[in-house]
Amino acid sequence: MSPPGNLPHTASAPSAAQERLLDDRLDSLRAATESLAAPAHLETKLISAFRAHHAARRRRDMIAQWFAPGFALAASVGMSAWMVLAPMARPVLEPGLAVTSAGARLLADTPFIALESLEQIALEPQPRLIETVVPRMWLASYGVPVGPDVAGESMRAEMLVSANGQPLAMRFLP
Amino acid sequence: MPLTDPAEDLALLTDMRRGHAAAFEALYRRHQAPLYRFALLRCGSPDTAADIVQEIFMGLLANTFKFDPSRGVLQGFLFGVARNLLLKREEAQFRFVPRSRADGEEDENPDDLVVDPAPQPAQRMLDTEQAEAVWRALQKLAPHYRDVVILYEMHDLSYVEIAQICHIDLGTVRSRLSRARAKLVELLQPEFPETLAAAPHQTHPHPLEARP
Repeated sequence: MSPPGNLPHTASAPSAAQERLLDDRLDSLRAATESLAAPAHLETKLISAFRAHHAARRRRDMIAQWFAPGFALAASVGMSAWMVLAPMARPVLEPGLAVTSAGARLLADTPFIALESLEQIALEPQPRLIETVVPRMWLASYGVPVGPDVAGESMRAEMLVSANGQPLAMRFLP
Repeated sequence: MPLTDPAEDLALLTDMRRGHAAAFEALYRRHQAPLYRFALLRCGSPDTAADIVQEIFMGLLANTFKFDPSRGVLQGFLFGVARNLLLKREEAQFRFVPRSRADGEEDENPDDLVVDPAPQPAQRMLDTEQAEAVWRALQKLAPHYRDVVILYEMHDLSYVEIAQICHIDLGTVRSRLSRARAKLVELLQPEFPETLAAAPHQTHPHPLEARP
């Protein structure tokens, strides 16, 4: 269809008859291309891609849904532990404080995570530092992201335990 | 006038984003053919046109294009994406790509109307010789003129819709269409000398229904 209200730019602007003939030509092109469409295999390919994309997204959402509360709780615990341990670490190392050698080692290394109150750890008469193996999922419970593919694996840790074997603090070893 | 109902498109898009494959399939079936034809008429290559359609829908399913319904209808948005993808490809292919014209700059140089068309596929694409001739003439127009002609003449889009798709103002749409049609008449004269060239000049334009 020739456009309404068009303004000729040049002296050779087409006449109304030429406009009509051009419309006929354009109509013939339109008719000839009307049935053209993208190749049929493209639809199958795109729908497969759509299903794969959304399946992956559902998996990600599901994992996030499962682990989000745990991560949030672990992050809170980890942050609280850091806030308790970090400011206290240096003053406790000053001479005159009654701490055991194992306790001093604990307090000198901030990556340890307190499992009991710092006061209880400091007052423990015979704490022991033991090396052990724990599930990697423990990392998650202390706010460290753990990929689902390695969640079932174990890793080495150092644990400070009381004389009767009660865990007081721990740190993960690389 | 949109080729599809914008409200239905939006509902399908919402369902598609929730992961409903049937909604994606419906959207594809509604839009693939016009987009393919636009790309085909624009670039002249069936393979490139199919690639463009694929890129559009891959982007749509991965939600990388960020369609905003408050800024227009889905169909216009998809035509705009197709045009941008074609422009990107043409930047590398054509020796002349007037990107500055796409920003609404007024067209000054009459030589800008035509370009050397890209190499065409060997196979005959259209059934009639007449359609083939118009298609060849269309390929000779500069891309920014071709856009307007294809969207207006082949897809029934309004000036407003074309202006949104091409990021130009209404006056530029009108002038490009007018100049492109005049150039098409000129280009088609050697093809059909007995008709276009010999058409009597009339002073009274025939009544036309204006699109908004």
